[in-house]
Amino acid sequence: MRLRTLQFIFAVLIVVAPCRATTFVHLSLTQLSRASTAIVSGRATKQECRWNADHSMIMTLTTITVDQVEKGLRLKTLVVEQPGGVLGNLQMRTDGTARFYPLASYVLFLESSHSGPGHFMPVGMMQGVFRIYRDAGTGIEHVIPPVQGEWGEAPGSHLTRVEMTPSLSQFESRVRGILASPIEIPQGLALRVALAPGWNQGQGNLAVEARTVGVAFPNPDLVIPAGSSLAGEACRLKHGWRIRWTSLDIRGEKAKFAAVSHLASGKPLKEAVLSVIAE
Amino acid sequence: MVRKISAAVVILTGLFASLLLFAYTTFQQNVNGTATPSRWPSANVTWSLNPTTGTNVDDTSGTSPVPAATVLANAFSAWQGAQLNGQSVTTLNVTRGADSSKTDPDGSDCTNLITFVPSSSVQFATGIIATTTVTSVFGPVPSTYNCGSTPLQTAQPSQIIDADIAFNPQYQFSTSTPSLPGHYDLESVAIHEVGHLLGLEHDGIAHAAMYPFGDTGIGQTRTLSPDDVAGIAYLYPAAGFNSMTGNISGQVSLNGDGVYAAHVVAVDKNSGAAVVDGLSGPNGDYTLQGVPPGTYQILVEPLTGVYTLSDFSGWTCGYATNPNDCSSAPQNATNYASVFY
Repeated sequence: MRLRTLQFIFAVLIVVAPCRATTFVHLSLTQLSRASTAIVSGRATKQECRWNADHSMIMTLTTITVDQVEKGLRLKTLVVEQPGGVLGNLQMRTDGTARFYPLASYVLFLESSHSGPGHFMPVGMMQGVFRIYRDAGTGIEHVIPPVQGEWGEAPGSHLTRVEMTPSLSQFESRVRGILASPIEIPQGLALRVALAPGWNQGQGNLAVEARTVGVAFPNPDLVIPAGSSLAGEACRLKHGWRIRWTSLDIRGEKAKFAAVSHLASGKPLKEAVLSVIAE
Repeated sequence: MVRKISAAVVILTGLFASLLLFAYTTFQQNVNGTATPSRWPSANVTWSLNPTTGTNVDDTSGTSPVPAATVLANAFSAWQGAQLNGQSVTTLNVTRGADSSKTDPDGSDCTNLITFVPSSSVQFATGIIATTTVTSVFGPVPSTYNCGSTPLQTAQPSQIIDADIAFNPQYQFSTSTPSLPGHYDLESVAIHEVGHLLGLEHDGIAHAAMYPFGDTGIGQTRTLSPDDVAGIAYLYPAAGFNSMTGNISGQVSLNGDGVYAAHVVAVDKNSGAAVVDGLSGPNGDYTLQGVPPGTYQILVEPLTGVYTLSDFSGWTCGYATNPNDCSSAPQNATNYASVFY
């Protein structure tokens, strides 16, 4: 075997990767961070499989003992829920779920589950699970990105692997940097939102809330999950309403969102779905 | 014919190890300590569609749009009709059953449901366009299993008994050719999910139907790659499939030591296309199976793409140095940063 230049490899891989089947959206570290309601590091201390309430799906519940919280509530333990699992000689498998190993440590990017407080699912399934290991030679802890190519590569490229297993401290520093930076809403971004019911009851200027319908990935630094909250103020006009939107809440982080919507008075107002375009 | 890179004989260290040597991967079940591929019995599969679609599925706009049901039938046909050099490679027999009014996947009803309208109780993590859940069993079927009058037999070895596909209603799908801007190509996604339903897992080759990542717009594949074809033929082989293809085997080493879990890709020398891929075993040995006739160069690179060291069933802690200590480092396998040809 002989070593080739990276440029040559790029050329080969570009040739072989023009088309992609789809089931996951490849999430950048920034998108993982933005879409998370909780980012923690911790150890997998317990795991069990059980049927869900209506006996239609086996679920795997992994208890994480939390060592550090980067985002979200300061819980001592939490439960990561994933579809699939094994009960006796019966197995259910949903491809793309993460595997947890006993007492192994992880950095986890999590979003809330319907099951209640303290229950989460990994953002992007296995994309949100980074295993930590300690280098026996140096004693330094590293993380293994679940999808290689993210760390240290040029944006939009899946080809460069500058550092395959960044140190934990580097990784945490980068996540903190992301969380500390403001969310930029690109001009012209169109969001479909559903108005919360009852917003038009009352006099004068009224506070309005709407929830995004569908998921938006405007650029590699931004994801707007379904259900993100858009806030603004409505003003009654002669023939309808004008709503001036001011902020967008993405999983607990607020971003400035400037837009104006006009609603005709004849339009059904409760739970109306409209398209809002950022100025 | 296939260029044989090495005459090294690959000695499988067990079935788990052998799994790493396949380019494609299949769903596996632990059958009395042995990882066993899960298959539909007698290669027969019946699917049922809930024909209701939401406003997120656009099957009327664009160029030559077709109904969503037609797209799904096309996706099954793509797998059933998989060919290599004009010859059918699989005995797969797919039938469309009666439509269903069910909205949610149910792994215990023995109905292979495809739904575009899962209820809010079905949770999709952010970034997930569609999911397939495959239920398999070995030995006696649990008495609690609710399959109505469907005669389930004792399954040996692992047998798939239910698989459901749910498309995420929060994403926009199109059946236009090419897909509408900002939409996911329904046929591309369906081919991928049907591959799961039939028993295939994710693939590391970017142009394979079973490669899991994608984006909206044009360029989403609707055709099977040789790797996909090899995978479906492995699960449900037509007579004579093995005689249509060859194997490439060898060993990956670095400074004299075998390299564990290197990503090995057979690249067609003429077209530059990646055809079949796989991973090296614990001592660096690899075998790429189901390689179509041709001339190949072997690309070796650090494990990357959709595979990670912990993705392979049967390996405690993935590839940890000490298999009993999950906090230990991965084996030396992929600590090199270069790519070799």
